[in-house]
Amino acid sequence: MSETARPGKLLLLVTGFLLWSSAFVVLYGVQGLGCRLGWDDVGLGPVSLNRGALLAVWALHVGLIAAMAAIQVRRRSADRGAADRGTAFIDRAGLALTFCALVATIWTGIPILTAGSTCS
Amino acid sequence: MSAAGAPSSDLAMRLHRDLDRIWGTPPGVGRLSAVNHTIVGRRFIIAAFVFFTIGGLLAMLIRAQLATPHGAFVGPELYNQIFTMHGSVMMFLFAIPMFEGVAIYMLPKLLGARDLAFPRLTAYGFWCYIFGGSILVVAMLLGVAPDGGWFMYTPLSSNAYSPGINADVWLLGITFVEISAICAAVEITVTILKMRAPGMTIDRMPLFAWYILVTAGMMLAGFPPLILGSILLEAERAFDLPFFDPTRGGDPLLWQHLFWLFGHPEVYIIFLPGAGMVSTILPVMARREIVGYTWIVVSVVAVGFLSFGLWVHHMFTTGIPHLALGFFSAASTLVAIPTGVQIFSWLATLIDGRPQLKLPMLYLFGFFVVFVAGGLTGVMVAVVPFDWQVHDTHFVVAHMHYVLVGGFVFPLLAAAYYWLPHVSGKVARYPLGHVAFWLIFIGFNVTFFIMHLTGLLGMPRRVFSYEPGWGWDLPNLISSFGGFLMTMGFALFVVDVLLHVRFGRTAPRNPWGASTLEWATATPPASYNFASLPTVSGRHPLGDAPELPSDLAGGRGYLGFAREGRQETLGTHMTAATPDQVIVLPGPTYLPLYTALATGVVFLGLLFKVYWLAPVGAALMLALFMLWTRDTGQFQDRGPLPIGRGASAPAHSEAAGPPSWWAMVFTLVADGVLFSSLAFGALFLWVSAPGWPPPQVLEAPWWKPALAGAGLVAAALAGRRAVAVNGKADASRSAGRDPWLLLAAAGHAFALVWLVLLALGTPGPTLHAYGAVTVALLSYAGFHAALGCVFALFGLWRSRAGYISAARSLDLRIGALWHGYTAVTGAAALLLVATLPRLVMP
Repeated sequence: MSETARPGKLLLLVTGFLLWSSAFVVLYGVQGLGCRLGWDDVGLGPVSLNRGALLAVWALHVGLIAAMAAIQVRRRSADRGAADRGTAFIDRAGLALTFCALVATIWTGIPILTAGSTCS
Repeated sequence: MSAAGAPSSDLAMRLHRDLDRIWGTPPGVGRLSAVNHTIVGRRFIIAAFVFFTIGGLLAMLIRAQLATPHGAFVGPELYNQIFTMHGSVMMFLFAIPMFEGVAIYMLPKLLGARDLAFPRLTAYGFWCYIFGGSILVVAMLLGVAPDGGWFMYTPLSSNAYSPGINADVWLLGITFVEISAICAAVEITVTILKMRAPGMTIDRMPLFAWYILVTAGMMLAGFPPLILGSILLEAERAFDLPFFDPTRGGDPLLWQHLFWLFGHPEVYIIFLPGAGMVSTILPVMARREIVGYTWIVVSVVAVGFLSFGLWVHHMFTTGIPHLALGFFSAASTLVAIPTGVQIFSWLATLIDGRPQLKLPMLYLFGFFVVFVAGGLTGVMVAVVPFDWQVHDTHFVVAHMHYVLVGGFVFPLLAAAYYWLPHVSGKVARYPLGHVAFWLIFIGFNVTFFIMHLTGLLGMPRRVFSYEPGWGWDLPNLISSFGGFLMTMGFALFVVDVLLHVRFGRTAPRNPWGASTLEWATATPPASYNFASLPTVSGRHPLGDAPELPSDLAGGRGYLGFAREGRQETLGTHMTAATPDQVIVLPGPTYLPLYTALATGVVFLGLLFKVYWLAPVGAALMLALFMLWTRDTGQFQDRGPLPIGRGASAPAHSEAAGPPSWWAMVFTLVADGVLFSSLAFGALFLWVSAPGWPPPQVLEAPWWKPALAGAGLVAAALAGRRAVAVNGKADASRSAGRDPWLLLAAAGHAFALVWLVLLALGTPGPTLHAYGAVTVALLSYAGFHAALGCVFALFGLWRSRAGYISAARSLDLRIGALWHGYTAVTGAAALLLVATLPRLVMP
């Protein structure tokens, strides 16, 4: 007996990139806010407080998307054969999109590691 | 009623006559009442082409002026209007409406439905487009056209530097047109998700529908920032609220952020429909199934998101910190990858297929060459140091035209030749299309390839003249020559289409041997598209079942009958595409025209600064929208209705997820983006604008915003309770919902009073941007509370008039969505208003 996907399952197609969008906007926002509040001049171990905050935001989003990808992989193997065509397609495309979002999030955040100052 | 089996040809003829009577549009003046998607889609396409012609003529004026140094053709004032109008017309009045027209005309046919989800909204959107576009064109004819560039940068477009109504014409005219875009986006999204033919599961959806679905989603997220920016700038110009004035705590960069949050996705909003046309036409020309269906879908969704991460790529030279530039540069390079995946899928399809170099394929060849070149220069300008060198030069003009003409106009011309037999029922008799192609292709490349070099030689864009001897003379002359060559090509295209329509030979059904459902209709199509609706069992409905057109015409599909004179089509499950409701659509009516005229009163009142007229027009609009509901709803439960083939489904008003409920969900998504943009604007000004902290802040005790918020939350809870009570009660006790609806209205009214009091207490909205954004946030919440009151009272009226039962709860559920959204965003706005003074003061 195959399982019919609920409309909400379509969100699987966009959740990964919604998280990427969140990473993008929050990184840009934290960078501006940190500069406004002078975090670039405050030390946090080997990096400035601003860079530390940005690294935390970046790592959090990468972690969330990676966790989501892992859950999708596990669910997909558990549901293999039980799902109808539409569900199977959403699972397959959703997983691919989550992986793409993961790569995009990692790539987008690389300037945090390479930029000299976070505010100039 | 004959639901299944094999009706005789007489019965089939009678069925077609009955359906034609039900779905047809009255002749003569009655055609102004048309809401049918075939008619309105055709009108969109024709109107967009007229605007394209206007934009093209303006381009010729530009090229005439720049052909030689010290061009004396027009002066700087007129030149500013010409290049501003060229960009604005091409982006807002040609590209977007043209894609909307193609989608409106084509989608129901591709999906196996009889019309779009909201035919009256389609017509309303069309009239808004025509009226808004007319404002711009009439202003141009009167010599008061916008002249600050199609991007309307502040402070140039602010009152101090652009007095007069030129900038207002842009802000109000374009916003008027954007109503049409938002209407189309909601309608397209709901139609694709809820109205596909039975069996057309999500993985069997035509790729064109995927592209349009993603495009519509992007419009829901991309247009609200521009609408907000236009409202704020118009408020600055009309009421002196200094959102963008750096001397009073505003920031011109806020405009750039809001504009490009729309403006960059806009490029992809234009390209993706073109790519959808390529993905539809190319496999037919290659005589092979598209390679990599799933990967194309994945790529399109990825492009849809990544394209939003590019907006600052237009602001690389504004002094933004390098790290932030790095984020946007990274996203700008990233977007090339999913675009490349699509291109390789198309190439693989061609390589593995048996391509035929018919006319549509020739235009696709033009698309490949031009778009790929534009994409490559796109990667170049994504790299910050290179962008700094070519920013605001003709290199960028060349890049942009390569992307937009390559990505949209060439596929559109391919689509025009591909679908003309469908629209006209004829095939071309003369080979003029080939000549037109070569003129357009050669003319385009002569114009714009050389323009890259002009830009690299340092010629800035938007200048009306230049000195001789700087190396720009010859390239400009060549570009102008190419431009006129291209214009001859387009003129020949028009002649060819007219000859085709007038003298073409009768087309056979499905002349290209395509396998998509639009070729299962008659050509030209009947008003109802299909006499009965198909069942789909694969990605190639006509390839899988060549007898499908005659089966459908014979009434042997779903809804192969005319019931009670109603316009019926099927609603299906979003992913599984199993029939789950019978959607009853409205017939021809003048209401969309009247409502658009009332909308025009609002915009003209604002444009000519007759401010009392705007609320009068708004009240008229509201009253007319209320009249739209006269034909919807029913006084008694109907239960499951036979839909043919031994199946049944409830009417949409009794279904769990009817189109109008989903339409409200997607409208609120767009609304949420607008609110997020406003909140972003408030925080951006605090973080980045000069002249902060403000001299004074709102000093309201905490309980005042809390009371306003409590009113909104109470309204939301009451709205939900009304739905719950209605669902549980039997018919005799269902009036229990009415007090809850009254409470919801009272909650909104209570909140509105406190929101107005807070706004009135905000110090100096014209003195500092802090006061202006505070009033904007409170106004946003207040506007939603006022409409919430209307929704609750409307629900109460529908309840008392007998439209609502436990099964027919749609009005209440739509209202509950609004109440809930208003509570969430209202609470967020109030929290921001209450917190901002603590954040901004040292």
